[in-house]
Amino acid sequence: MIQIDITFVKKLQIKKNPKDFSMLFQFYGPKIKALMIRSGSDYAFAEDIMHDTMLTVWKKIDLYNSSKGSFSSWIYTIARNNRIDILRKKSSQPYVDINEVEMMSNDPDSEKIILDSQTAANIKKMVRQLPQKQKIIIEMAFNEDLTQKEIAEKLEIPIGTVKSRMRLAYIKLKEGFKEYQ
Amino acid sequence: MKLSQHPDPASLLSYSSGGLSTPFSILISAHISLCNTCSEKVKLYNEIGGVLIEDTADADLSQDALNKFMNAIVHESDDRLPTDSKNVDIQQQNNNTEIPFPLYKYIGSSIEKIKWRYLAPGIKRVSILMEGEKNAYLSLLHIGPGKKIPEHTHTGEEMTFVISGSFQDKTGVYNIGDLADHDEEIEHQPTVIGKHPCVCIVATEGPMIFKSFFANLFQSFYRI
Ligand SMILES: [Zn+2]
Repeated sequence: MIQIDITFVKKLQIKKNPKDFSMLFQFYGPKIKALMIRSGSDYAFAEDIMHDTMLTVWKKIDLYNSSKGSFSSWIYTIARNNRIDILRKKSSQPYVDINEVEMMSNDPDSEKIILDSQTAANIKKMVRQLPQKQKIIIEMAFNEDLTQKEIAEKLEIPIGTVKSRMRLAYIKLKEGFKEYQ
Repeated sequence: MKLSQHPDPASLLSYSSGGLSTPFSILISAHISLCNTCSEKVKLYNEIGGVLIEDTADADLSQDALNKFMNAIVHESDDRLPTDSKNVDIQQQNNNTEIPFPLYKYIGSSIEKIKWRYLAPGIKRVSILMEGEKNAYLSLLHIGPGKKIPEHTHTGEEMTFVISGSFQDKTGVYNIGDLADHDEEIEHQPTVIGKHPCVCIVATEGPMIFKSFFANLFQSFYRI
């Protein structure tokens, strides 16, 4: 298996070498397709979204900014947006691109989260260490693409409980995050 | 911009995981385009998505998948102009309008150009058609100084984003860029404060049903 690290991604940004992109495709393609299948898409549809996602990655590679998040999270947001685009048949999906948002803010209270490969690895650890009750909800949201209401129905708990577990998960992730900084 | 009213972190998580309907996603997008604190949170949540992608066991691709991809990128001229020019447009428009750019494509780039319809004395509204949305609605409201948003009910969640002016309800004061993210249970009747009218955009699950007789009268003509 190849190592997709920041050096590799920077190389792609400098020169869009098809051969390197074929490696990227072989690493992420099967994972994106798997994620789409898990969130309820059939095989053909999952492969279509995967294909569109990888084409977007090729087209927009130079917009990726490593200080705004890990490469995998960038890929994730593209796949998510493509899926929403196709499912809702919208020409433009309702998401703002975090990578493209430049804040005009001088808000001293806002806590800047600097993401590098080390923090990305830590987040991975923290997601795995979340208490089971929170982890299940997060996985249902991200993997199965369920809304808060759907999660509540599936687990037979009130929607307020779903929300409070989501909030708790954030606090846990944030705490863990600070520890590593 | 220093904002004081933010969405529930649970809503931000759902935004990140793709679990919000379009009207709610639009309002969150508008808020995070102005709010550092919340865009940082969304970044953190997006990382969860990244982790899950990496942890996912590979699915089998169809045999010609790689060839198809390689063909597509080789034949695709390396033309990045369309995305770049779009971004420049957005930036330029952003400099001379009060409307945050994630709202442009739904309501245009100027409050002045909105074609309001009368709802009640001092209150105007426009419904924004959401194609492909079964049960989520987006409405623009223009409420005069000192006016109350008529008491209303709806079946589920509600979010309100302030485009201009200010309002107040029992949960606090909301200014430009602030987002009110209320649970179903919260009964609230916001009042516009200050000298100027308040323009806000409201996402609801299910249509807003106004309680008062007067508003109901109009309800039958205009569904909001
Ligand atoms: Zn915020």
